[in-house]
Formats: sequence, structure tokens, C-alpha cells
Amino acid sequence: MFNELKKIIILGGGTAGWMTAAACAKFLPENYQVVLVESEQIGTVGVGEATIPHIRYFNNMLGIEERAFLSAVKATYKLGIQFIDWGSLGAAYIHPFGSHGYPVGSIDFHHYWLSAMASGVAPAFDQFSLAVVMAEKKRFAFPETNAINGKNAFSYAYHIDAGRYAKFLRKYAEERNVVRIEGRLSHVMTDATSGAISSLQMDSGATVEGDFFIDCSGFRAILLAEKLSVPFDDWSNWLLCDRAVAVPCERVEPPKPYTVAHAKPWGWQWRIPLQHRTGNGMVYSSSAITDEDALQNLLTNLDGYPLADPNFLKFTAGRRKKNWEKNCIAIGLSSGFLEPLESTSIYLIQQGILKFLEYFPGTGDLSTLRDAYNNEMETEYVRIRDFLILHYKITKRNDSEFWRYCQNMALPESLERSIELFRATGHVERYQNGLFMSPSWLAVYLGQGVGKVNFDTRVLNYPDAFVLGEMQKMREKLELQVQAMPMTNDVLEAELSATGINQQPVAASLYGVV
Amino acid sequence: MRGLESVLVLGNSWHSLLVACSLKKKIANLKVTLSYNELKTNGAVSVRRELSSLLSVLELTQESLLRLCDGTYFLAHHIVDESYGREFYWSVDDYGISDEVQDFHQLFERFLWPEARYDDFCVTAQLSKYGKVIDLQRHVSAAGAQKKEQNYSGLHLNIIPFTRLLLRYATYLGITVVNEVTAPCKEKNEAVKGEALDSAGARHTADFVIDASYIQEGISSEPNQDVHDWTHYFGNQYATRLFVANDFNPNPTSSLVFSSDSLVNAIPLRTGVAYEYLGNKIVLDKFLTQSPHSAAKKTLRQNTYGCLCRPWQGRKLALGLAAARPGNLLVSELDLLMQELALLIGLWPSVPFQPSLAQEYNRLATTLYCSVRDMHLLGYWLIQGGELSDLQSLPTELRKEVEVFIASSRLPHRDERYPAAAEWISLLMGLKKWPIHFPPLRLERADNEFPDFFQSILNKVREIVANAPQQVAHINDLLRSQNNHAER
Ligand SMILES: Cc1cc2nc3c(=O)[nH]c(=O)nc-3n(C[C@H](O)[C@H](O)[C@H](O)COP(=O)(O)OP(=O)(O)OC[C@H]3O[C@@H](n4cnc5c(N)ncnc54)[C@H](O)[C@@H]3O)c2cc1C
Repeated sequence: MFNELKKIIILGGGTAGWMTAAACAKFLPENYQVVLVESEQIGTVGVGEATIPHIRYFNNMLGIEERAFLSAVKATYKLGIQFIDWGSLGAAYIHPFGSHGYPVGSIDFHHYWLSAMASGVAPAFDQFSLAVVMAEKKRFAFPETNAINGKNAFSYAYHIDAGRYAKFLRKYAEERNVVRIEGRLSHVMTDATSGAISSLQMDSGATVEGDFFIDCSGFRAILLAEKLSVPFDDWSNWLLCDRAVAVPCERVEPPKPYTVAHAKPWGWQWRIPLQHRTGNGMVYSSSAITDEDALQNLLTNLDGYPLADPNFLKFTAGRRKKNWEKNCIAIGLSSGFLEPLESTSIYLIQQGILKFLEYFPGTGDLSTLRDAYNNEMETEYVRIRDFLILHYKITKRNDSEFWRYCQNMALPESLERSIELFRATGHVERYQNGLFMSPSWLAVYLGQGVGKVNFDTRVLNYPDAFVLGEMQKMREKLELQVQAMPMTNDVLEAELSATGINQQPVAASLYGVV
Repeated sequence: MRGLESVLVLGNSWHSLLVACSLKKKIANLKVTLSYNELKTNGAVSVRRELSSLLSVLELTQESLLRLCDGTYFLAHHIVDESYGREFYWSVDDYGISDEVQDFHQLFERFLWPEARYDDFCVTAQLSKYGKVIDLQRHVSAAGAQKKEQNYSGLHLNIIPFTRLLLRYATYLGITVVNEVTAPCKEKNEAVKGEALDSAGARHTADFVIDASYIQEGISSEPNQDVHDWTHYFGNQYATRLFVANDFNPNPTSSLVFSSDSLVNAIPLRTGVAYEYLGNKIVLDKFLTQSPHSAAKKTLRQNTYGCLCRPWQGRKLALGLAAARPGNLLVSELDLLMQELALLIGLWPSVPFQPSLAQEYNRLATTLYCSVRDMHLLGYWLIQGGELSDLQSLPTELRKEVEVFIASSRLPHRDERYPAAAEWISLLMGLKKWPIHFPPLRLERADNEFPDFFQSILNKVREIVANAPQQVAHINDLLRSQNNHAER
């Protein structure tokens, strides 16, 4: 049974707008009309360069070929995020797209590591991750689907030029009949009885009518918030950063296959290597530092010459209490914002789109689909939120008011419970739905340190020498595997000059391809 | 902090034996004491989804377990709905296959509804229909066939030899079997072992007590134990069991027959059929008075359904029927028990006990029980006509799931869903609760290419089924060859 919904209007042509348009162009039947409205004058947020492996799944769904993508968006490979100075000043770890070690006697590896740590003899936890060793040695190989040698236990993503990605998808969408309307929205018209949106009135006087509206208008959330009055759930008491300033600079060394997130007394700084430049930004709390000082600090910490004027951004951590209201769904910054610490925004855009397609609305009462969509998006947001807060909470830093607040802040009940469980038992709270699973929680818990952690005492059945021997073997195996891999930059350059299709297996997972 | 040294398992049936054996096998150096007072029950127990874990605990092959426990292969349930004249073979395996952006059930709905049968597209459903069994020697990879490294079928086992086998195995593993414990574990300081007295007055000590008793009527409400009572959701509150000995059934397919006022679960074993009847008291009383099998009368019981709010408290944990009765027809007691054991072993405690560990176990276990309950209620609701007006009587989460499925052809996310979402969908599809709407996404194939696509799946399924041996012959061959082997 087909429904009568036929015209989809997307407001906004940033990453969210064009990702949505491309997916609609690919998956909606030809008799559906997709129109995207954007204003060049208003422009886009202009940041958003670090991704997670799910982007490969999205591209693959659209049939986008990796090599074409790499060169179009000036991408580099990414194996994880390096966190510097988070747990304490001078400490660093990588949260990889992959797992750590492997279970022995059906007990998870990290329990052995915790027991070795208790005796004071373990190398850093992240040294047991293939992706971390690759990242540190700047080597790269595509993950394998074969589980035998552990080379399937990681995945990879990209650093991208977000502006180019939007352009790339715009071309893709326009080639597939998405109509783009340039212009500024002036009024949103609603149906007097249902309150649903009926049309967009443009500055030019034109009217854009539609059956269903997707709000990709950025932070303002013009349709969902301004017109349909969906309130905002403010999480800024847990995630204090509310400003960012971004400045790209020249790249001075071959691109590292990881994003850097360097903690500062007022927030943190990102460094994202692309083919043609390095993206930099300072994310900070406006109550901890002024805009000028934040910019100054960023500029003094650039690797190369700045390539553009600084781009200042203001935001509030949180989400719209509903992402779908009446005949409108918000996707992208309009649906909520969680700081880019774990590169999750494009992922959330992707989830918004995929769930929109899965719950594609028909006619009649949409409340059932709406509730399901809103619930699932809420779970996504809340679980990512907790994971981000974790980075701020488990720290020994007390060098600024900002960090002292974070250390002592009261937590959401869900996160409080997770941390308590981990400390008391060494177990990560289990769930199946959400982005970050056990390997990620472990990477942060054990990378930053969370105080004394108990562990599964069954590991005490194994003599210390055996455990240390196994750990040593794991390390040696990883080193050997990584030594045999080419340098990341060589792989990238070979891929950029290669012809033909490089079809890598994809999965909607952070940790591997099978 | 020290490792748990000893466990006292309480029970009276295969449940506690299996718990004791699993723990002894999986937890190195654990002293397991089993307080065992056998409750004589007959009938069958089925295992499908967790067969691999069971075999690994028992260190047996599927064939050996089948042979030792008077078993048959379990490929699918034949669900028969007498009131609405519907029947369907429900398997845990894949129905069809899809390389499109939409799942197979959505393609089915889009192109084949309402003429085709959903179960025509599932290998194990078809094998079951024709009384066949997959040839285990041959690896089959076909559309709709089984996933790699998974057991190609489950087993129905006779409870009596299964219990005997477990008892022997428990002794072999070095589990101390003692008389029934009458006064379990006086609470002392948590770091000190608890004490228990058995019926002969002997004293036993253990760090941890697991109650895996077989409670016929349903979970008990002990002092200090809150219970989620689900009895009102289940109409069939009376039950009886019956074993009818006969020759090996020529069509060894388990069936679940629903009529307007009762439900009969018939499980074929090699030496007879184990029946379980559920219904209201009037119907079952009538049935019992008319039944030529007078033994059945003795076992009429009233069921309650529900679960303990906190199955794990301090040093005591309840498993199996001592913890929950969320229904057992669509997810067997054995499958569920293996799930609970996996959960427990994954969260294995140390001494002193950490309350947060018990809290996490309780959170996961009760969510699991709710899921299994909902699967059963879904089945009952579907069988009773699947009227939307009756949805109100279902638990909220399940009601919403059904509504979402009908409106979108998709099940919303649920943590700890058991069994897997695909099985819920095949039950819905098989019992003809088709979505009224599905996303009309654009497919790679043109519409006119789909008949060939579906036909190719059907052909593969049919080919496998045609080449598969009859289950009866296959089992007889197996027994003969094993007997010959034993003789030699
Ligand atoms: C500091 C910072 C760093 C980030 N880093 C990352 C990262 O590393 N990884 C990641 O995944 N994400 C990151 N993000 C998030 C990412 O930038 C966004 O999710 C992404 O760019 C999508 O933005 P958008 O399309 O929703 O909004 P925008 O880019 O703001 O686009 C809004 C669109 O709406 C249009 N519009 C608005 N008003 C009107 C109007 N009245 N009339 C017509 N058109 C209108 C605009 O023209 C524009 O086209 C970051 C965000 C910030 C703030």
C-alpha cells in the first residue's frame, strides 16, 4: 500500500540538508518530489570535519565510491581520537575504532589488564588495540572480514572537508532530480486546523508548498522550534562548553590517522588533518575564557599559517524534546547539539535520516511513527550525552574552575549508575541500542583513569606469569602486524591515484566490519 | 576482595542440575554443592536457540545428546490456529533473503501479499513441514538457510533421560550432591560463607546460593521479595501435562495448536509424544474427565506468571522458574535458562558482593523476562485474532511495538530483546499481521524482476528440502550406526 505523501521540502543546505536530500533522492520513488531550500547569504555553519565509521555505511548505501569520495572531499583516514591532558595533565590515550585485546577463558581482556594494573605492571590499556598501534605508528591497512588474525577488530572513518562533502552530495542529489531553491525564508505557513506546516514563504515572494518538511536550518531550528514551538532540553549544566572558534591552517606534516582533542583549562582544542589543510578549533566555556583569549590561544597553537578568518560559533548542549512534530522532522543542528568531542553530529544526522526512511510517514495518524522515531532519537542522544559527560567527569585535573566544576558536578542518574557499576565490578553497563558500546567506554574509563576499579576475580585463577605472558604475546603480535602495514599517507596517495573501484566492506559499527 | 569459592545450588529438576553443571564447567576452581530432591516429572524439554551453549557445557555432539535423551530434531514449531483456520511453520532461521534496502518481509509484503505463504521461504520451516531434517554432514548455504556456525536445528529431549544424564554428569564433574536443604544460608557477615542445613541435619557452607527450583505453579512471593505479577495478561491459567507413548511419530514436527479455549503443545519424542495443555479450568476439567489417560488428572495445576523484581539479592540468586515464568511455549525454559546463565557468568561476582553487580543483573534479567513475556503475549494475541481493539490489554511496550510494526513494517528498538527481532517479525508475518504501511523505498530491481528473484529463493529452498533425508529415517540410521559402532 503506498501513501499519498508526495512532496518533501528540506529547509537548509548544510551537511544535514544535503545528506538528507541525497538519501531521499536515492531511496524515494521517482514520483516523489524533493525540494531543498537554502540561502547562500546565510551560509552554513562551516565546520564538522571529523567523522566516525558509520559515514562509510551511509556512503555505501548511496552507492558512493570511496575513491571518488576521498578526492572530492579531500579526505584522510581516521582510526580514532587522541585525547591529550584529559585524565590529568601530561597524560594521553587514543579512543580507537576498535576493541582492546581478546578474552581469555571467556573473561574479557580488560579484567586481566585491571588485575595486572593492580599489581602495577601493565602497559597502557590502549596499547592492546590494533587501531591504536596503527594510529601511533601512522600506519594503515583496510580492515579484513576474516576474524582469524584479529584484523577485523577495527574500523576506520575519515577527516573530511565538510563544505566539499555538502557540495559533493548536492551534485549527487541534483543529478537525481532534487530541486534546489536559492533564497531566504521569510514566513512559515501552517494549516489552521491541524497546525501542520503547509508552505514556506520566501523573501522573493515565492511560496514553496509541501506535504512533509525536514528542518535542516541549523541551530535556529526555524521550523521545529520557532514555528512548532518544540522546547529544548538544555544539558549545559553537564556539558559546559558553549562556544567554539575555528581556524584552518596549513598542514605541515603528513596527515595523522586520528583526530586530536587536547584539553585546555577552559575546554579543548581540536586538530583535524585533511589533504589540503589542517582544521583547528577551540571549544570552550564562555564563563571560563573570553572569545578573544580563546582565539589567541588557538592561534598560538596552530601547526602552520592560518588559512582563513576565525569562525566563531555559539551553541548550547542539548536537544529538542521531540525531533518529529506534526509533519516536520528536524535533522542536524536543528535537532540538537552535542559538542564535537567524539565526532558524533554527522552520525546523528545519519541516524535521523535512516530512521526517517524506516518510519517513512504515510497519511493519516502519524503519532505512532512519530513516537517511535522520537524515542529512538532520544535514546541515541542521551547515550551519547552520557558518554561525552564521562570525559569531563573522570578527571584528576583541578587546574581551573572549569575542571573543578566538572569533577564535582552531579551526573545524570544513568551515568552515575554506569560509573558506579564499573568502579565496583569492572563491568560496563550493557545495552544494545546506541552508538558507544563497551570498547568505547573502556577506552575512556581506562584511558583517563577512574580511580580504583574492581575486576572479575576469576582472573586470579590464572598465575600472574601466565597473564603477563599472554599480554606480552598480544603486544608482540600487534607490533608485528602493524610493522607489516604501509604508512597511512602512502595508502592514501595510492588510493587517490588508483583507478577502479575499491569496495571495502562496511558495517554500522564503530569497532569492525563483521 | 576474593573470588567466589563455593556455590550451593538448590533444586529438584533438570534446571538445577544444568545450573550446577554449567557453573562447574565454566568457573574454574568453583566448589559446587547441589541440594537435590528430585521432583518426578515427565514430558519434553526443547532447546533451539541455545543448543550450542548446551552442547558445550555437556561436551556432547548434537547426535549424542539426541540419542541419549530419546530426542528428535527441532526445526520449527507448527503453529495451528483452529479458530481462524490458519497455520504456519515458525522457525528461528531466516525467512528469505534481501540484498535490497528493504528487508525480505517488506519485499514479501510489497510484492507477494496476500497470496504467498511466508514460511515457503524458510528452509527449516519447510524441512519441518515435510518431516525432514537438514543433512548435517552437508553445509548448506542457501537463501533463507541457516547462518554459519549455527546449529542447523534444535532438539526436543525427553526430560527423564535428560535429567538422568545431567545427574550422572554432575557427579562426573565432581559436584557434591546432598539431600534437600531445609534451612538455606543463614545470613552472616557477607565476607563469611553462609551456612545451610540439609534434611539429614548435615551442615553445608557456601559463598553464594542459587535457587533453581522447579516451581510448578509459578514464581513464589517470599518475604522481602517483590514480584511483578503478569498472570492477568495470560488467559490460560491452568495446565496439565501428558506423555503418550507410541512408536516414533512418522511426522516428527512439534505443534502448537490453539483453539478458542485451549492450547495444546505437542512435542514428538522417539518413544512418544509429550503434550502440554493450557486453558481455563472448565475446559481442562472437561478434557481430563474425558481423557483416557487418567495420569493426566494428577498434574492439573494453576499457573501464575510473573518474575521477581530482584532475582539477585545479597548472596542469593534465583534462576529459571524460581525467578520468572514469562511463558514457555515460544521460548523454551531451557533456552531462557541458558540466557540467564550467560548473564550470570558474564557478571560473575566476587566476595564481598557488590550491590551494583546484583542491580545490573536484575536490570538485565528483568528486561529479558519482559521480552520473553511479550513474545508470548504477542503470540497469544495474534492467535486470538490479532484485533487492534484488543491491543489495549497488552503491556504498553508491546502494544506500541505492534502499532509501530503495523504502521511501518518495522519493530522499534528494544534492549535485551529475546528472541531476536527477526523471530518476532516472522511470527507476525506468519500469523498474517501484515503491516498496513511500509516505507515505499526505491529498490535496485525493477518491479518486473521480482518474480524471478522470489522464484530463485523458492527454488533453492525446495532443492535443499528435496535432498534432505526424512527425520525418522535419519534418526533411525543414526541410532543404527551408533549401535553398530558401540557393538564393535
Ligand atoms: C564547533 C563545531 C564543530 C563541529 N565538528 C564536528 C565534527 O567534527 N564532526 C561532526 O560530525 N560534526 C561536527 N559538528 C557538527 C556539524 O558541523 C553539523 O552537524 C553539520 O555541519 C550539519 O549542520 P546543519 O546542516 O544542521 O546546519 P548548517 O550548516 O548551519 O546549515 C543550515 C542551512 O540552513 C539554511 N538556512 C538557515 N536559515 C535559513 C533561511 N531563513 N532561509 C533559507 N535557508 C536558511 C542555511 O543557508 C544553511 O544552508 C561541529 C559543529 C560545531 C558547531
